[in-house]
Amino acid sequence: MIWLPVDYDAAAAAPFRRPFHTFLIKVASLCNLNCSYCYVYQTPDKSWKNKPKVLSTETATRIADRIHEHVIRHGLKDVTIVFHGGEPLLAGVETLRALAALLTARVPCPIRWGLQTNGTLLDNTAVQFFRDYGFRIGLSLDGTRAHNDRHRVDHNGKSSYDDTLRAIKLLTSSADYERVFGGVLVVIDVEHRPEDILQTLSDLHIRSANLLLPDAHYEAPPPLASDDTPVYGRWLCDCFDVWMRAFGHIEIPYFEQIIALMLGGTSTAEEIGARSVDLIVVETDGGIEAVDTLKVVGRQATALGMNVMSHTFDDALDHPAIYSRMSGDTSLCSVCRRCAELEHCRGGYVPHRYSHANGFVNPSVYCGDLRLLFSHIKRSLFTS
Amino acid sequence: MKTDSQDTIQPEIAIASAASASTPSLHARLADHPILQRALRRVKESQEQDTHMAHHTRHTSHSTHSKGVW
Repeated sequence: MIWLPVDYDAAAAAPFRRPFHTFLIKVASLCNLNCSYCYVYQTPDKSWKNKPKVLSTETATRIADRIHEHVIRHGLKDVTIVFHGGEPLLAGVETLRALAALLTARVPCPIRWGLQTNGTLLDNTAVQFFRDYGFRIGLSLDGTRAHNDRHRVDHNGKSSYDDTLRAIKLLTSSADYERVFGGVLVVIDVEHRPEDILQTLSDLHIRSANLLLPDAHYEAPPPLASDDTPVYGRWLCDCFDVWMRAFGHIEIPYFEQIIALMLGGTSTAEEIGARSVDLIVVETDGGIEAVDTLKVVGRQATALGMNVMSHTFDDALDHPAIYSRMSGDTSLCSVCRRCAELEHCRGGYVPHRYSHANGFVNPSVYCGDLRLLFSHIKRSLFTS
Repeated sequence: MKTDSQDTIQPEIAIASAASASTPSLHARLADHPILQRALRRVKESQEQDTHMAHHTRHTSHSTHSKGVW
């Protein structure tokens, strides 16, 4: 058992407890790609093998009813619903359209729609559906063909690059494409040069590209990590410099979130600087999870023993896996709470803090990298 | 409906605002940098509406830009 109430003081966290606004719904449990770093399929949690391949109408109806009661109980003005996978387009556009219609009919407030896809199945029918409902779409692309092909291949080892580029061109083919196309995710590979990645994204007219540190923790350290050298920190600093110098037209939310925090703003990202994460994940079998990326730790981290068939979202608020992420600083280790960078970091991303010995009560496995990045950004932007 | 001018933070106002909130001061040469403009917009939005108890948290594996309703 990882999430022990004794590790997380519910009373101390109470001031930061709040209802969920963001519901990440797994509409498909499988994927047509086999990316080397995937937190769903390349990690110890193999529960995807036993889940329904596509979210059923029955489970979706229950999810919608649970969101309905949550909205009513807490008087929410709006919610965010993100269709996620696996690869969500494997569910088929007509199924997604039916799910969106079902949720729209039952959720008694405006919905901000999102969907994250690898793009390989994207077509005009899908884009029209996104436009009809106002979906904001995220794609995954790591940079040049060489970058992408190193990790993002199908189950036969075939490159996904051309299909993803075709999807990007389709999404960017209209003048108002930013209404639909939110941007891309780039998983950091420190063997790839930041300027090559950013130049590729710029050439593709991509306006926003978020950076993801590889999912890792103390028992499964990041690729090429070294005790002596903060290789990810150095890469991030190099990327920051190149970005500031020549690619400022591309939004990099990870960096901009840190800058905003340094200017006194609030984090809206779960992976950096977050005081209160109002995100909840529902799997295709109705299982409730704190966040799906905890699969990198194992089933013991994701399985909360809750399902929309038998539990409300308010029940989930009482689980330490949830309220520990709505706790300001109180769930962080003493090293983090004493750290000068606490306001900018807040322990980084929760999966990155895991160790067998202490659960999630550790600094991030990227702690040295993050401290290097914070000091670099401060030196670059602010007067002393 | 927002206008362009409403979407653009005057750097000197933003810097003054940031300074008054006991936050560090930006290098003046960077004040009109597009990156800083967007970051300052995030700060302004968080001061006006996205307090730590009101915002919608973005999932790390859903990429989306900040402009608009997100």
